[in-house]
Amino acid sequence: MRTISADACVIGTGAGGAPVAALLAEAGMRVVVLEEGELHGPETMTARPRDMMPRLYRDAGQIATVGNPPIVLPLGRGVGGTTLINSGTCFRTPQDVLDRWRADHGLELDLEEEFALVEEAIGVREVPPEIAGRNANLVKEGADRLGISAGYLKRNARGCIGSGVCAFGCPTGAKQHAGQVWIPRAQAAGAELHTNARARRLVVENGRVRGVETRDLRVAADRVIVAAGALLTPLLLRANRIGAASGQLGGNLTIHPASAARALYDEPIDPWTGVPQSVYVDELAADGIMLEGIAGPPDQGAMSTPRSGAEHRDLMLNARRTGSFGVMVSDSARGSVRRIAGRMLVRYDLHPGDAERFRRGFELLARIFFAAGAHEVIVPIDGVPTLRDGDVTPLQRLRVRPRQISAMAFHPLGTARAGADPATSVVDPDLQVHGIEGLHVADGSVVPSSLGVNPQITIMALAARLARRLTNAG
Amino acid sequence: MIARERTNVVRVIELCVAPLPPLPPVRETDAVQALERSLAAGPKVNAIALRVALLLVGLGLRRGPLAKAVGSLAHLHYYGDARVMRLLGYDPDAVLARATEARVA
Repeated sequence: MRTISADACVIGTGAGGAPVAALLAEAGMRVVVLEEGELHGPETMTARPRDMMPRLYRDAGQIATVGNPPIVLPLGRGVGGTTLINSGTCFRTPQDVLDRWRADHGLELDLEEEFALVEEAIGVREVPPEIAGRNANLVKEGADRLGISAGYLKRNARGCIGSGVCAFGCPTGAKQHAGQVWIPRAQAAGAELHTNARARRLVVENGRVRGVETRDLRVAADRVIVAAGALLTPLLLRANRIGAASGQLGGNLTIHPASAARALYDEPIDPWTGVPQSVYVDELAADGIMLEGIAGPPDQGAMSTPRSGAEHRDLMLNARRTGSFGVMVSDSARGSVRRIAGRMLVRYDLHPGDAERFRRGFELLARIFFAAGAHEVIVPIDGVPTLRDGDVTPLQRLRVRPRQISAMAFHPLGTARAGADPATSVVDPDLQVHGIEGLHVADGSVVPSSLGVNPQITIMALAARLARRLTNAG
Repeated sequence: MIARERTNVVRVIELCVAPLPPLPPVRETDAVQALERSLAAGPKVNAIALRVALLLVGLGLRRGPLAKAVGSLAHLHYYGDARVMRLLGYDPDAVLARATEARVA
């Protein structure tokens, strides 16, 4: 086994690992970065969702929770992690969430400087209406007509032309994902990137981390930052018998369950044209319900369009006139991730209260669709008929159960949560694993609770804060 | 997959998609080959579970999470065929040409 030495070894190149690697390298540290996946440049993208999924998604996009209902949980795999295949939406951590973390977890976080730093680095700006796509602009118009709070989202993109396939690899190279921004910065500052390198063993001696091993490489380092994501980080820690003392490792999983409704318009809107996630509706945000755009090419749309057989076919034949928009809930349920018989098992049951949140979100969305000119609305709740002529009463009357909801989820968080008390958390407020000197976690797993908004800015800001602490500590 | 299993997969996709002109029959698309590639790229345990699910749907299972998963797979792989996508109005080559031009510029 080859051994190399570094001041810090970073495991993972997603929203957490990549900024830490860049900022530590730029501060003069010798940094080694281990990435399980490969490098995918924009020139390798095909704008064909079906064919990109096996290349860019972990387990070919087939990760699903076990529970009621089963929920597909797509994750990215490659340099950039899930930022390679996310929609690019950028929200700062809501202040009420930070206040709750202070009260419940003893986390004193002032992230203003870090927010500004990462937003500048990844080019965060509001989507211009010209590239927002007709699908999203119609929803914005409908919300405006009803006096419902809505706006254009902020995204990390430079030179975006609205190719419509953010979630399947940006072919323009406009999306400023972690592998496109932070990793090149890290390398320019001297960091060494190893792809196809899966961390297997964390070397710990006398309560202090000493390095990381892959199948054929040992990285000797007194600082190790685990950033493998909220599903894999707890598995890596547990496999090394680290971080389990509180009983919280792998638990507290929140996922932001999400789902999408369809609307049939008279005019062609070509939902694959423009930025897929460009508009939000935050009218119900205080209740943990967020509406965000989702759209894409026909295969992506077909996969999540409710119905089957002839009904589904008729919807697809009208694909050019079919709009779609998502509902995301800030979940109150908690799941877990474990390794059973060598396989990752994600347990999660949708809370009945969150099913009700979906119902309320879809009711609001249906009203907006109708105000925008739709004449039919299809919601992904079993037993709800197609809504017609502005009538949302079938949704109003409904007592929805979790098993009726068809959902996906994109934001696993919380499985190695941060907190001041070692009895109730896995890492301390400086993201160091309780009791293991030099071993830190910087990814969604440290986020102690559901955010209610897309998490990449929160994760990057926490990672930037960690990098600052490590460089200040010398 | 052996020929018999492939025949069942074609039948299941036909059932989920119900193609009528102008949509081509499943046999005239690359849906089954693409589905095989996806199963091969995922975990073995998933491939086994999904192949069993395809069999069950072929035998008449119409409800529940397994049937839903099979439906999603069938829809994704049929509508990802290049000819079908173009027929519905989406041209990935045109998207790529625009993207390449923007990238180079």
